[in-house]
Amino acid sequence: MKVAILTTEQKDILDKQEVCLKLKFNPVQDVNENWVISEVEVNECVTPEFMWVKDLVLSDWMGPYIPPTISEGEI
Amino acid sequence: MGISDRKKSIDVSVNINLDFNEEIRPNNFIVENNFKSGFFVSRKKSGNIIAGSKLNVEGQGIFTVKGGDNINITKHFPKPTPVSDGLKPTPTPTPTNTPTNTQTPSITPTNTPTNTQTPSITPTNTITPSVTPTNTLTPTKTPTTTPTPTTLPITNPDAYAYASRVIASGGTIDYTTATALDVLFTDLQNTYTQAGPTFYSVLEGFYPMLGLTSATQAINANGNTVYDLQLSGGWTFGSLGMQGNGINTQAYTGKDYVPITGYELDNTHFSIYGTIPNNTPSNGDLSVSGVERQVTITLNKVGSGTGRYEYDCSSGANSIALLNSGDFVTISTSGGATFYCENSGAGGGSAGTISTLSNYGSLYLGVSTYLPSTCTFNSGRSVNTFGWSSFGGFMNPTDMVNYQTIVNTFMTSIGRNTY
Repeated sequence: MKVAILTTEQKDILDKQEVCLKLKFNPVQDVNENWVISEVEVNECVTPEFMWVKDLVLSDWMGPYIPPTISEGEI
Repeated sequence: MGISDRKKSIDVSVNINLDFNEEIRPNNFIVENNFKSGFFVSRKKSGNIIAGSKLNVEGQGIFTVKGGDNINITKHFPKPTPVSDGLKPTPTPTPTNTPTNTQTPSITPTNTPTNTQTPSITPTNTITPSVTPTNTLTPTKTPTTTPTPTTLPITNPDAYAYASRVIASGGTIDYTTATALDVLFTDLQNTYTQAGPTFYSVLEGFYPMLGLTSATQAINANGNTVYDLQLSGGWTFGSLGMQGNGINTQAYTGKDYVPITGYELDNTHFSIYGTIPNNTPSNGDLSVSGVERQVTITLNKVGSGTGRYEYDCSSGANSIALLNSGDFVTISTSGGATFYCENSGAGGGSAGTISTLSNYGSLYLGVSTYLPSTCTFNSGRSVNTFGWSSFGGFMNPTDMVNYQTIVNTFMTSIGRNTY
């Protein structure tokens, strides 16, 4: 599975905006805390102002971001 | 002068040269059978007539014709206009032909009325063009809705409305699917739950996920657009339905429980149909998630090999119920027990009361996002393909079997069934 890595600014621009009719971008953070969108969103995008996503470099999906948990011993 | 002195007979040879090419120059008028002597041109000419010949004197011409009677060489001269002293019996018949000409015009008026009637038909033709513009308008309406509905074998108006929305959103409905939709809607509207209402009225939202795009598969089939799916992330749409990518896909139904209480939860059902047999392991294919998570259906739970569902997991009062890896799962609760149905076979319930629950949550497909410590599921996104989902009012175990039978008949008709 491939994803495109976004800058924080790009994430803010795309978040909840339309990929195509009835489908929206949904940036999420990967295991390295990078914001990403999926290859499908890149390929299916037909919204003129967001066509720049097709120029983004694709890379492998490394897994979701896992928030750090604070154990009792760390407090 | 004595008789002997008189000239008794004279042989006179007469030569008459007949030249048909010569310009006609009529002689003075003579009267037939008038053999009185006089000026030469007015007297009957005489001469040697060759045997077999005929001398024809008509009016004033004199011709010698050689040969038999079958040779008709008659020189017709123009009718003399001058009138001599004699009678003119011959011209009399001429007026007889005149009435003939007179009758001819009398026929002409007869034709004239006929022509008069023809124009009276012309206004009829004038009306015809006024009909033609009507036909011109008809094709204008045709592209809008007429063609497709006309070809679809759908009599149920709600099925027709749903099919029309799919088509209007860019999808297609073939003959088989149209027939299946007609049966589906009619069955849902004519089959009653044990509590009384029809299945159709119990369904707040249901998603046949037809067509091949986000716009068509997001449609809530009962026409309430508030509950059209709000899709986000990298969904893939195909003939089996919509498939998640396990990374960022989710489908928000628009249904919020603000808050959801125990009583409300007692009056709910949720269903989801994975169209690829056995499904891929995940941690949530359907969930009511929010500040805390209440409900989860997982068709094939990661690490367990079978499906799971939870009702009111955040309270901890409701234990985990096992599923049997069915592809079509429906769950509902009576408050004192929860029920499930897999592949049209009713299952048992799990103990636990949820009547005191009061919490917030929203209904999603393809994800369970919140992970309270009381829930035994991990959170996560699904990679499964969904061909049907619904939510709405309560169904008891018998209702769920009947409901799944109706839906699976539809899925079988369109080639999406897994059992």
